[in-house]
Amino acid sequence: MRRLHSRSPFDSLLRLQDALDRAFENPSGGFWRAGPSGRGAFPPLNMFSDADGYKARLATPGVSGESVSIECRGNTITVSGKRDEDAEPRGSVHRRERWSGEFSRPVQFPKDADLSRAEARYSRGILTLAVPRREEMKPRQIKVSAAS
Amino acid sequence: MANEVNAAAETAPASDERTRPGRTIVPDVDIWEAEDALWLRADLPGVDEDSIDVSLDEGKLSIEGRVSVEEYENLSPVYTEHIVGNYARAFHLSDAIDAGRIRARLADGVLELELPKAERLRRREIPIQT
Repeated sequence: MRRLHSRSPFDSLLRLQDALDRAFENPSGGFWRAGPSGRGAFPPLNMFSDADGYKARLATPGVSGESVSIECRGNTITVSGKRDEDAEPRGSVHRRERWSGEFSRPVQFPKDADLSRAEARYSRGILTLAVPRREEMKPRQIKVSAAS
Repeated sequence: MANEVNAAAETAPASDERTRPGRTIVPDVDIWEAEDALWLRADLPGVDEDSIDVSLDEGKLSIEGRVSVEEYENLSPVYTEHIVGNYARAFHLSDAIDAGRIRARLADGVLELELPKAERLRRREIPIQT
């Protein structure tokens, strides 16, 4: 999709959604359409990378950081926990769309990820697993020396 | 007794034209009705207290949340299951809600709204005189 490049506060959001769309081949179609953020395993996962390593973001709203257990084995980090155990609504239910129950979600990282240095952070309902690349796997520049 | 408030008829997202660019995500909600109030819970991961707007205008309850995209700068997606974007959803409430006493709370990306029923609609036991 071609778009005029103007500087607006929404540029970064548009770029991000564009990038997600390309990675995802989003089946919900129309870029401008409102739609659900996705249905599938809970919690939904987005994995990103940059020069330093990988960031896996799991959307776990309402699951506080202390109540999840994070286990690391081989190249996989498994996040498990429970949501809304005490939130059984009293009264008559009009709508029930939010996911609830126990979950266990394995997240597999690429081979060059160094899981011994993995870090986890929880903020605003999103759990971020940050895993750096192995030093020897990081891209590095090789200088061309002049032939004598 | 139940559903008397006929709480939340949802307004179609398409009925409101948006001028802001970007895809808007419809958050998942739970709504239930208790004796004296209607409760709503919405999943808004990535949204904090400073970037959420809840408003009630002529019976239309609107929830809007903005995510901060700075945390995604310079990252390229490897594998994705959900789109990151701003949230918006609206409901029509009957006038049986006491708008002045609505309470909202946001914690860990979950918004909770307490929408108290207006006094005149609450169930009242009528004593029988002998």
